[in-house]
Amino acid sequence: MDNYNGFLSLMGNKIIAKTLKHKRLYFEVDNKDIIEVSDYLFNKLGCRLSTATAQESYRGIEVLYHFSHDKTGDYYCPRVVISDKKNPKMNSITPLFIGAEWIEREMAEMYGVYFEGHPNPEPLLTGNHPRNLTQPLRHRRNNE
Amino acid sequence: MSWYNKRLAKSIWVFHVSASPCNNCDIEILDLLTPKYDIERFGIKLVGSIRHADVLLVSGVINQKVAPKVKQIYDQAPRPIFVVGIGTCPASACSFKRSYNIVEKREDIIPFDLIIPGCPPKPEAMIEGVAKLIGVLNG
Amino acid sequence: MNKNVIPIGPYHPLLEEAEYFTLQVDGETVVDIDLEIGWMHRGHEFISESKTFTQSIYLVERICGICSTSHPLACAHAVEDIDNIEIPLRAKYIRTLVGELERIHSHLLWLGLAGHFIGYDTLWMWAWKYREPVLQMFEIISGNRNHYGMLRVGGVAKDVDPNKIKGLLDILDDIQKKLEMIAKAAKDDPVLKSRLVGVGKLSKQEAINYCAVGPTSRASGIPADVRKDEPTDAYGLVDFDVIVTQNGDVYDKLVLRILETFESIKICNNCKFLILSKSRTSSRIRGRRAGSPRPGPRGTQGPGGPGRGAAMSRP
Repeated sequence: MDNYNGFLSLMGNKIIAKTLKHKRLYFEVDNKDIIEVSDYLFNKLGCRLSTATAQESYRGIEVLYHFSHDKTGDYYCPRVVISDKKNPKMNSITPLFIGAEWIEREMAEMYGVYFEGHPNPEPLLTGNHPRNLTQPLRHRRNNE
Repeated sequence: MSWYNKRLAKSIWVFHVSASPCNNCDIEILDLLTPKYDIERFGIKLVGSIRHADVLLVSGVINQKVAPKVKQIYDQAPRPIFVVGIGTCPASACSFKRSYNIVEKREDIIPFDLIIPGCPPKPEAMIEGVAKLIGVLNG
Repeated sequence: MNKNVIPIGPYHPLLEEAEYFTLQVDGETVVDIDLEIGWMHRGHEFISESKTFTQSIYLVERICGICSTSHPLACAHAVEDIDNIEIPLRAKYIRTLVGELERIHSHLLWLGLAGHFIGYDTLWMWAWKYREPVLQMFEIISGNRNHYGMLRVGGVAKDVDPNKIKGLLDILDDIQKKLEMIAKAAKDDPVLKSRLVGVGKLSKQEAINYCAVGPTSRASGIPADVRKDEPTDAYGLVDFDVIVTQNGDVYDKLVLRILETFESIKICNNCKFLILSKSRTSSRIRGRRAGSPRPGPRGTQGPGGPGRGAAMSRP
């Protein structure tokens, strides 16, 4: 926990809930704060975006970014929960650095999340598909 | 056309089509050209265009996006053409059966004449498959 | 200014997979590039939703046929992180040995393909000839040349017989001598230098912006190596150096991969002494599943109740 004290004292008011595992800090932020937190992690601390994952759960669609601080081996993982399942939208962090472009395009085509501010919102893997696949990783239930 | 097939068996020219494989079978095909399993001593070589080819080597479980292109390649090949499937993926798509993105029957897209199973098949198995093909061509 | 557009793909003699590039060229120099992918997409995330942990290790291996140990290592580490599973010491050394042997085979493959694409087929034939003994060693250890299936959650699947591994040391010495010859050739050869120096330059700030990792970022001057920053398995117990070069073009990547292969041979030589000795304390290779009816090797039971599905090892 000692490595994360500097970060927690600065951004503590934006964090809703947090969990600390061995060398990984998972915390939840609101949609309006994700750009500021990512800006601090990428530019001031010098972290690298390792990957980003998405999952559909009972709370909504959760998008989890994994930032890796290479000098010490620690991970900072902010999570955004989008509760509107019919039209999910959130802010995109691609204007900060270009490395997040492709992973956000893939999350958009697999889960249907619209990233506001993304410079190139085309599907990555299923463009020009002969069968027109839409959102293959969402749950399919009969009563929705 | 059996006299033509006998001439063909002396030196077969091969075109490689990778219809969404994991690239392991492709590396084993390129391994056949290296000094340990030298297949160029039989006159077999890899060519760059489908119009020059006698045998088509297909590897991978065929994707829904790439299926029209594979069908187009098969239609553009000059007759007679023989299709050889490499690996377990063209035979049965074993690991990827439940995917949303693969075709249901691979025989609808392209008809196979010979399948060499294995994940990946060893280069010795591929040479035995080629030898069986040459034996069939010779009558 | 005239701009010519060349479409390459999806099927082309230069490409191993199916990809579609649209190049804008000015003579022989590529000015801009456009890219469309998706012809290899098979949907691994969807298939693995209905598999067990052991089945998903086999599925994840088939993402790529060349780097066939990196993906199962990542998958096994993720599952072991969830439950804080500890791995026995012998399994750590076996995992490191398999990982580093695969790094040797993968770098030799890259070297050969780099020579083939610039038309230098001699380099291709030599590099792939010295890759064959490494694949033979894999067949002795695990039964297959690629897609080994050696990893499980909590350890490894098979033990390594010390009698069969004695030939490994001679093979690694042989590869080291031949690689020294290739390294000297790469330094003096005018063909490699004139084709590869200054081509495909990735500057340091661009590598940080694109979040590059691995040999691509180490060739641009960023000294980050996950084996040193977050050592898992036996990487904290062996010593090796991190190679960094400054220029970021293709020639630097070639030199970096040759030097990294020497470091991998050093790590394999460091791992061998534990494998050659088969003592009683270090002979367990996999954590035992909790609630199993067999007793432990000294007559004691494992901890935990029947509710846990993951393999648990005793500390």
